[in-house]
Amino acid sequence: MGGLSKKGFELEKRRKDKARILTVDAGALLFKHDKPLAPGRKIQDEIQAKGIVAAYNLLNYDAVGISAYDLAAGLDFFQEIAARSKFPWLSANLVEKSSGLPLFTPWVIVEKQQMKIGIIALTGSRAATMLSDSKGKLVDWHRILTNLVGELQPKCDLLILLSNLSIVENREICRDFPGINLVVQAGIHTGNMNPVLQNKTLLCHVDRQGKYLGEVSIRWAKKYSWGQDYRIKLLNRKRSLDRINWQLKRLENRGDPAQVDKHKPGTLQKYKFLKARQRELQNEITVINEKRRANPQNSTWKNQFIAMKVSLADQADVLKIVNDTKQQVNEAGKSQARGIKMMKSYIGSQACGKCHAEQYANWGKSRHGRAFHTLEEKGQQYNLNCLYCHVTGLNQDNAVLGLSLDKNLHNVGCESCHGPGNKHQNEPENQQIILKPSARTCLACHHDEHDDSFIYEKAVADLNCR
Amino acid sequence: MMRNIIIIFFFFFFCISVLSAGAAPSLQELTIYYSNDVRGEIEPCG
Repeated sequence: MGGLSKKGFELEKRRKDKARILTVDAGALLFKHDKPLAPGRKIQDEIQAKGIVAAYNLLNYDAVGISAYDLAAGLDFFQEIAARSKFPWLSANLVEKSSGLPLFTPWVIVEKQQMKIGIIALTGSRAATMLSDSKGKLVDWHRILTNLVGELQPKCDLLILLSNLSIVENREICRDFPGINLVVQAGIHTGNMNPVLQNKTLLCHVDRQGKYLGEVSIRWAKKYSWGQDYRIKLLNRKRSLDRINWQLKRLENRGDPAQVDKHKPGTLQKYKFLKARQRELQNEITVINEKRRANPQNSTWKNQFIAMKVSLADQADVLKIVNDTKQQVNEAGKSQARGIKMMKSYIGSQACGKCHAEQYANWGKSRHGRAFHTLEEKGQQYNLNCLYCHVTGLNQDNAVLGLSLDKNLHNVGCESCHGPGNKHQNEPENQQIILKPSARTCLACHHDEHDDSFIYEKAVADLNCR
Repeated sequence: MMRNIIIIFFFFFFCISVLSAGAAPSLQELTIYYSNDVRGEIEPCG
C-alpha cells in the first residue's frame, strides 16, 4: 500500500469534484531516518529524494514542513532540493547561525476563494544533530510562535501549524495557542489518528510512508470554535426514526398488534422492540435539539483516511517520475557493486541442499526461494531499500554488501531463518542449527512497513520448505 | 417627491445594514488533504 502516483491520481480526481481544497504535508518527506545518511546509501537516497520532490511538484502541494528527516543528507543538499521545489518548504525556527534570520520561508498565507489560510511550520529538536556542522541552527519555538500567531491570526480566516515537534510539545501548543486552529503533526509513530480536539485546536496526523491520505472536510467560521456537527447527527437519527415509524405503521394498520398478533410471539416481540427503539430515538432527537439550541453554531469537521491501495489508479506523469527514479536508483546501485563477496560463516542454500535435498527442492518453489528474482523482474535488484530483505544474511545496516553478494546468497535462503551454516556443515552432529526461526528474525523484514498482514505463528506454520 | 425617495432609499439602506450586521457569519467549506512521514517512500517495496 502507498505510492506517490496513487496519491497523485486521488488528488487530481478530488480537485475536480471539490470547490475549495488545501493540500499540506507536515514533513518527514524525503528520507527514512532522522540521522545522517550512511555513506553507502547516500547516492541512492538522494536520487530518491529528488524524485519525491519532482513528484510533489506535480501534486501541487500548498506547503510542506521541514523535519529532521528531510535534513538527513545535510543542509546543503536540502537547500538544493528546496530550490527546485515548486511548493514552499516552511520552518519558522530553522535560522542562519550568523544572522539569526530564517533560512526558509517561516509561514505563508494561501488564499482559496476569498478564504485566507495561514500556514506556519516548526522543525523538531532532532534536526539539531543534522545541523551541527552547517550554517543553520534551531532556535526555541515558543517566542517565535507567539509572535507569528499574533501577527497572522488577525489576517487569516484559518491558521494551520505543520509541526515536527514531539507529542508533548504539540499538546502544549494546543493548550497555550488557541489561535492555531489546526495542527498536522509529523514524526509520530502511531498510525492513523482521528483528529483530536485539544482545547480549541484540532490535532491531526496520518499513518507513515504515504499509505493513507488524510482528508478533513471542514465547515468553518473564525467566530465559532470547533464543536459537534449536530446537523449530521440529527439527520441520521431522523432517518432511523422514519424507518422505524414506517415499520410500526405497517404492523398497526392491521389493527392493534397486542390483539392481532397475540398468537404470533415473534411478530409481537418485533413490535415491542420497534416501539422501544422509537422512544429511544425520540429521546435522542430531543437531547440533540437541546444541545443544538445551547450551541447554535459550531465550526465542524469530518475526517477520513483514504487508503492508497495497490488497486487504485496511477497518475501518469507522477508514475513516470516514480519509474524513472527507481531506474536511476537501481543504476546507481549497480555502479557501486564491486566484485563478488561471500558472507563469512554463510554457505548458501545450495550447500544445505546436499544433505537436505527435499527441503531444498521445496524451498526453491517457495516465495523465499524466488525473492531475489522478484526484484530482478522489477529492475530493483540494486535498490538498497529493497535488497536486504531479498537476500540471505543481510540487514538494513549492512545492506550495501548486497550489491556485490555471491549468487549462492541471493534469495531468502535456508540460513536466513536457520542462521549461518558453516559450523553445522563441518560438524553436523555437534553444531546444531536454529530449528525454528524466532519472531524477531521474521519481523526484521515482515514488519508493518512492508507487510501489514504478517502473523508470525501462521507464517511459520505455513512455511513449505519442510 | 424627490426628498421622499431619498429618505426611503436611506431608510432601506439603514435596514439592510442593521440586518446584515446582526446576521451570523456563514460557515465556509474547505477540504484539507494532509500527509506526513512519507519517509522517502516513493513506491512501496515488494
